[in-house]
Amino acid sequence: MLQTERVSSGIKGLDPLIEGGFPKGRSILVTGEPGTGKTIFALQFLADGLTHGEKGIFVTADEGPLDVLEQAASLGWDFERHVENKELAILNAGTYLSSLPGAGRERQIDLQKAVSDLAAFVNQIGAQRLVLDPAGPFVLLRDSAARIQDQTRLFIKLLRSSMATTNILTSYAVPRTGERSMHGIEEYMVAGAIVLEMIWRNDGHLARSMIVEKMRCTNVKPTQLEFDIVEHEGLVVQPG
Amino acid sequence: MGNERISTGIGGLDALLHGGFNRGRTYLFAGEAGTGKTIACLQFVAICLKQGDKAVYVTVDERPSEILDSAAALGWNLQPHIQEKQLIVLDAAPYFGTRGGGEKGIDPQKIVADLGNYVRRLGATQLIIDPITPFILPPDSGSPPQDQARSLIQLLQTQIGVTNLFTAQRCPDGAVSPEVRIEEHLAAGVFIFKLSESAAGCERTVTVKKMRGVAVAPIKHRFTLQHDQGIVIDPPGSAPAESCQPTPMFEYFDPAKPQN
Repeated sequence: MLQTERVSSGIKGLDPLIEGGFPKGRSILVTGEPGTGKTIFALQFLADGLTHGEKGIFVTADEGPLDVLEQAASLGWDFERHVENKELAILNAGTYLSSLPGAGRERQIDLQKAVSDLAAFVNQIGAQRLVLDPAGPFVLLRDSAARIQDQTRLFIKLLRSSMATTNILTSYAVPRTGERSMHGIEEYMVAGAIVLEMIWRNDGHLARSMIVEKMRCTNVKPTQLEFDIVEHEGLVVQPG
Repeated sequence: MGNERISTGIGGLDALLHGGFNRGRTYLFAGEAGTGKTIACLQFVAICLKQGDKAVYVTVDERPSEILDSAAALGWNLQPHIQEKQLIVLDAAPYFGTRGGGEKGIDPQKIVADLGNYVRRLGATQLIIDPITPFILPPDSGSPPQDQARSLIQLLQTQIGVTNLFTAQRCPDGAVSPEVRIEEHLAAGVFIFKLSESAAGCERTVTVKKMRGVAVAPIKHRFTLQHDQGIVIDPPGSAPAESCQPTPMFEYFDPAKPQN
């Protein structure tokens, strides 16, 4: 029988809920408003790979590479060493993206070229895990939502066909108004979708929540998981 | 009448066009961002002003002050012409709500009437719209872009009757949506600006894709950007233009190198 190969998420408490991890070689979308933990989720996924000898690539669009290293260091992960050892590559797409004129209105990215450039880096270091943080700028255009969907579909397809990595794509989310699709990445195009949120608990406290909305080939119960962000561990899902 | 030529301002180009643009017609500079379209427009404006013509320049993506700065950087001081009412630079950005203005529908009749007023008040004989794309591809208009483009260009030609020069954003090859090129069918002349990588580095080229009334060879003409002259087309057979390094899509971060 065909069995889905799994890649551990690195998030304590999550893997047992998703049959051991993410489907290997696919793209997982992590959405959440700023401050909900998307970047940490992505860093943790790479940190987990590094401890298993799996190399990774972190593509940053909004923050500089040093900010990324700093954030990893603040959680207790020495990514700088991994970069020096060529086990991890940090690629900065920010300069390119901000050099596109029109501030998003007329930007048009050649996705074929973007993915083939990425694939070259993946092959060069032998990466098995890839993060695009955030992925939105690659597919957001000023055009209609229909074009964005086409662009997204193409992007996800190219990622899958051009490299064997398991990918985390982060994306901003709007509160649940049903308009999340406007933010670029449609959940139905990815193999998995995880939503990070801040919620008010019944006891009046603010808590961090994670919902696995979708995971291909995986029997997930759609429950709201609570998690904490812990030093040296990152995201830790609370036992339900 | 009808065949009176007007210089494009680009020396090498006029020669290819039997003297330049036809007065009263519509021309299109198409190309990706950074390929030289706006500079070519400014160059056209500069030559028109020098010959005593007046012009209206509509900018969408850049502020009027930025347009004037770009011109000044190339050695063309347009400011005095504005003071002497030979040139108006109009900012159309508020139309499209791109810088905090309200979102309005695009009404070709109204646009043309408004522009017509400016043209007449100034006595302009040239109208530049840089770029035309948002006027004919409004985000949520009901009518197909084809109709929008046709009615806009026809209205401009019949109701204003000046020489029009538009720019259009063109997608990189391989990712072209057909509607982007509609305006090319409607213009009397289409010029494709390109920045391409070659063995020797980058080179800027312009191709005359279409020019009514002139038999043009579809050849890429290499050009360079020069201070005080703007676009200068290389003489045929010259060596490739100076090389440049385009921004890579993904910059490899090397912690050993100092960061800025």
